[in-house]
Amino acid sequence: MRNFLLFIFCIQFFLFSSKASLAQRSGSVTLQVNNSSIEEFVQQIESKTPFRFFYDPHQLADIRITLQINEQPIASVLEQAFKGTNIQFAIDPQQNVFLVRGKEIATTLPPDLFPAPAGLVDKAKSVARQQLPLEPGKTAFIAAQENKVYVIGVKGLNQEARATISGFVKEAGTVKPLIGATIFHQTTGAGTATDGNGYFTLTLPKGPQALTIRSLGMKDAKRQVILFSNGSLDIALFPANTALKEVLVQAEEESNIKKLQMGMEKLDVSTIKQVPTVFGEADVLRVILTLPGVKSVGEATTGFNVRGGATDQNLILFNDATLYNPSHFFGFFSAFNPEIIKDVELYKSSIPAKYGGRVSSVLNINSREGNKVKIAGSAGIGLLTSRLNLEGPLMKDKSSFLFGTRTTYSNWLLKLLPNDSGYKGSKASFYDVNLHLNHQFNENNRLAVTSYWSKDASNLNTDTLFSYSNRNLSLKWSHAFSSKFFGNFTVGQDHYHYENYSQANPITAYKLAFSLNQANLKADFTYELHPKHTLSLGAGAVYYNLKPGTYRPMGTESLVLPVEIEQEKALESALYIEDNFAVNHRLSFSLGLRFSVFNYLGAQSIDTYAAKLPKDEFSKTGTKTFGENEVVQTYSNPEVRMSGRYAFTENFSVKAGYNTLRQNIHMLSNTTAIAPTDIWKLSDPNIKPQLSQQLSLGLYQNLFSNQLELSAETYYKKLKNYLDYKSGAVLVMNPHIETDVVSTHGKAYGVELMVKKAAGNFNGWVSYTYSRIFLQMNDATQGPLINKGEFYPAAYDKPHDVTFVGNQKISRRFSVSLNMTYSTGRPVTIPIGRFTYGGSQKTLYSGRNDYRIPDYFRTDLSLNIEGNHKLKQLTHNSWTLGVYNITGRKNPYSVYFTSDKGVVKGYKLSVFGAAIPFVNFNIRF
Amino acid sequence: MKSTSFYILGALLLLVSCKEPFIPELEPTEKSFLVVEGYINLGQGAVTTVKLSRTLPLQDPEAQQPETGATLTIEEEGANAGFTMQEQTAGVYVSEPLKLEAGKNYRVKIKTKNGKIYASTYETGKATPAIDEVIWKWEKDGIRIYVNSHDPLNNTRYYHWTFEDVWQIQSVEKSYFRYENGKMIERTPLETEQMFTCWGYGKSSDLLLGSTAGLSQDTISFPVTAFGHHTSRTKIKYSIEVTQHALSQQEFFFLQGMKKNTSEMGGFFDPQPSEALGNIQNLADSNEIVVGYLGAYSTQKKRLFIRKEDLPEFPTKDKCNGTYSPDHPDSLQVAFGSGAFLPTSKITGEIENVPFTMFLGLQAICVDCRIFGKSEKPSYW
Repeated sequence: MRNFLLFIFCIQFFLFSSKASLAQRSGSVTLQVNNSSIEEFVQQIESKTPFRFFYDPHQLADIRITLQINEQPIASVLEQAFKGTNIQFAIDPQQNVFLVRGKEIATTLPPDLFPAPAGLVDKAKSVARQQLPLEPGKTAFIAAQENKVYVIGVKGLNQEARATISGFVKEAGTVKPLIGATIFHQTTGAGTATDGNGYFTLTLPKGPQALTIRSLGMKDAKRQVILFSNGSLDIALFPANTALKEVLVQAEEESNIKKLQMGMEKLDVSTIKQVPTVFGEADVLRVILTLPGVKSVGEATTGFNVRGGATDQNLILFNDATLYNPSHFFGFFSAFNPEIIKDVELYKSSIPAKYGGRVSSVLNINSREGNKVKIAGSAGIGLLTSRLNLEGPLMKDKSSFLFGTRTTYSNWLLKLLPNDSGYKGSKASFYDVNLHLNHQFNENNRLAVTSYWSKDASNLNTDTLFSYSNRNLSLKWSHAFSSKFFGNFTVGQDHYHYENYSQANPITAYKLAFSLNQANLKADFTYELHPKHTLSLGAGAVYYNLKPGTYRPMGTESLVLPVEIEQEKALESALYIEDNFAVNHRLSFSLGLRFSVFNYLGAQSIDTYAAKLPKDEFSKTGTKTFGENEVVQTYSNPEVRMSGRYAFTENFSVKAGYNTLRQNIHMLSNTTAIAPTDIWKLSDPNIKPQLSQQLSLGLYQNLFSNQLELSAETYYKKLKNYLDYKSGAVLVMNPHIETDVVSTHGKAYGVELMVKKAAGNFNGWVSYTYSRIFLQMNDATQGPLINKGEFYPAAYDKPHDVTFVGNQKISRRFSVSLNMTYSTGRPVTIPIGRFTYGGSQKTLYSGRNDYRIPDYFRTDLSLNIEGNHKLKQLTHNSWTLGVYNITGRKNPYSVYFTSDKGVVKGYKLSVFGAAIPFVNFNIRF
Repeated sequence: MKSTSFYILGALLLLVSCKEPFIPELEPTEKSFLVVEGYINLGQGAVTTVKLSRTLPLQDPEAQQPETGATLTIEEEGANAGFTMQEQTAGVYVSEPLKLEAGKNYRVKIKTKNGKIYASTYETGKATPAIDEVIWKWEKDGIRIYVNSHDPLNNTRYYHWTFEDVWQIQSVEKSYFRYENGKMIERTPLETEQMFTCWGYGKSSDLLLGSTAGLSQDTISFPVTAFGHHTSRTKIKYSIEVTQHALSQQEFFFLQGMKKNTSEMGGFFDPQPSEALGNIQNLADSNEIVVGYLGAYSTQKKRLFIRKEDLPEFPTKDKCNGTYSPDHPDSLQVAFGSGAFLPTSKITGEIENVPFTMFLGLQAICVDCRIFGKSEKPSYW
């Protein structure tokens, strides 16, 4: 194994060094040929360079070459000259060029090309020679060369017509596994994609085969194999270096049509970094908000709403750890450090059966792996935040670490504010720390550790200090049982808490705290049952422990009486199985079933209420008490996940899906966004689990050889047991929440259109979303009807949304990004008059959510300047300059009403009520 | 240091975020709504009182806007003629003493002067059970008054109470004189007496609602009001009359919403806004907002007296500052001119054969109980 890794290292080393040495020795080629024969072409090159060509003139007699080349390396010239033909070329260190039609040339590597110490080279050579033949299924190649033919398996081992190749697709150099890379066999059309560990299996006819491998951010690659029996092949891909003009990035160009998932958006961090954001800090969640079907209720809110879902209905997973508050500083920044992230997947329609527990969407954020070869890092300085990232090997080629931290230093700025600004004395600070460790024991066993710690504190110009913190730790062991059976075992602990306190008045000084802990354990397996059937199956359990509220005095003078709301505990267990069934290359299905059981556990005292009467203090009939870990209530039922795809042509497909989902943890909030006063509440005998059903249909068309992706998706969703609030509901420190909430049912529907240009000097997307979400409370036994029992828009119903995100490369060092978004203002309930009743002044409110705040419109512009591209320099620098909200529109974030001397006054608050310039400086080392 | 100032500029723009007045653009039809307050009073000789007003824009400083000139009729379902109500004062409409019965369905029809016709939904008259007792309890934090009631038929379930309370007030000393333009004028004995003994009046200001919905028996004990152990209320004698109404479930929830109605909203800790829609609607346009609920039920009342002697000993300690002045216009003006002190009595005598007159006085609040109450003795006292 050790030798094997050394081999990888050497190959990569060789490739880099050979390129460099060629360019140095030969200089570059300048030539102009027009419909020339191979003889004329060769003559031109031989006359200007020391290269000598060897070829069979009869074999290449029919070749005509038209090319205009100015100062390019020979390899590039040959590549362009023979593009689209089956002519292979090879260049040896004596500057001999071999041209062959059809067949591959496997040149031995002459020792003088290795500038490395002689011992190392010899070792690498001996390893390379020992590669053949292989025992089946044992040692894998790291196949990094396109022109080489890789022999897999042992000839004549068995009589079967087909054999299975399995292995990892990795990034050359860092040896990081590439997730979602596609491996495609052109002749039969068979294909597969790597899983979360970069692992793939593919069954093919025996004999010589050509594979095409593609992965996001990597150069497309072809591999030639001769397949004799089952065996492994690891494939190393090279990063697509966008600074070189020759490389065309065609990341996942077919995936929109081909992939089975619908309503799934995947963004890699380079896309995320292009979108301008306030303060110039790349922000995962803000970019997610630009996707069709994803909205937020306001500017400084990081909670997002997917297809008419509430902010608590999204499962936010960061390397399998659940994050409850995905924002910093009340939503100004997202909780994810962009330097740590590799990519982000959002499932809004067909959600794989392995995920459960939320009814709206799954946002899966994957971190990178640290560099296994050398220490590297980056640092960034922004207006209000700074960040530092470090990564490197712990054991070379086996384990690595990735560390990232961000912090804000805005408090000193807040102190400089003038007294009349109204923000004097404001405090705001946050930090987050990420640490990821990876270790590869052998090719079948890998371990990854993710830890995340964040802390926020702000007083929002009030005398109350709000602070909250996320703490997550997860451990994942990946194990390959065989070339067709793969498992991931994850254990983790997630924690979220907030603590708000006020000391303005010593007599009433208090501390209000909430905390949530969950322990997770799960096992996920992938099994390739048959070339047409891939099974995903697994089981998992989540143990919740919530402290819904403690209210304590602060300081010795405080007269506040301590109150504590009983702890809540529950166990949520689930089993799932899903079959990805490829009927043929046009038609495929995914059929999944998830069965979850939710046990609400004691110790707990539960109030009981008279049947058919609204739950309130008066209909309470008694209290039942339950002992430690006694099952108070059980909810269980199956969830169905189905989707299908039919590709009419290579460029057009139709997908449909049906999903049911359930949720047993509910967020209760006086605001519509996620705020540090929200309470999470588990389902209990009085609060039922939320259920949703979604039916969706999508059309996907790619144009101009996959340069342009068009998609149209539509959905209809039904919600059950969504919690809304009774009039006058008080949620903070309420020991009997059920008396202040009502269970509503809802319907949501919408259309999402998107045009996306993923590659090229200009890339970006335009999306339009029409989406509605209505709730209804027409059950008089729950209390007074809301809006006469008719459907009313939910507080986050925003029918129209248009977003444009674009990035134009001006030169290799400059690019401009533009981001425009328009959406309908969200609905609010407003006071529309006042009156006297029973001798006191009362306020008349409109029907629930009858009014809307003004529409939202914003344009951001940013300019990215890369430092010079000299390969050898100590650090690489880049600048981001830009203006957020360039039109300066005062987009209201919220409206609120206060009573001042008996007169009710309304205010609208816009968080970024002006154009905000920003600047960011980044260093990579 | 150019970059530093640039940073600060950015931060300032962020933090001095805009708070601007927000005046929602209301539909022209959504500016003034009818507010109806009252109930249909059942029982022998019962008078129904309904108050009509209009909602005001939030910015309007006016206290309230009575709706005058409307025609109100109490109607019984299935009966031909209704009972017309008369406008007693601006916006307050009263019926003749009527005999409406429990079990029958009643509503009120309102024709406003702009010609719109509104009606409450027919409500089945509910007989309010009698109040069993009104009692007081000496509790740790003060004296608390409870109303106890029950319905042997278990039909009432939802209760609403109001109360009016009265307490006797006695000044520290009697005032026999009145100061006027530098002179002392003797008060009439009646006026002296009126200033010495008065009665303070109070009434319920919060909506007092209770329910036995979750209980197996319709028996309720509800604290209607409380005050400190030693307040002026129980210094001599205190009386409270509690009025009880049996509500329908719908009206109960309407009033509960009204109780939670506040003007604060949109903040982190503010409650969710409450709707205030009841059982009245515009017959031509059911979407028009009308605030109010007109239920139909009888009224039960009960009175409680608390005498000084009933309570533990009262540590009476009146702090009254006094003054005095010779009978000279200038010095009388100094002592009594401001009205803060009122003369009580006169002392006359001789010093070395020179006769003198001296007026004594005390703070007005110790002398004139009319500051706190009314002089008329209630009939039941």
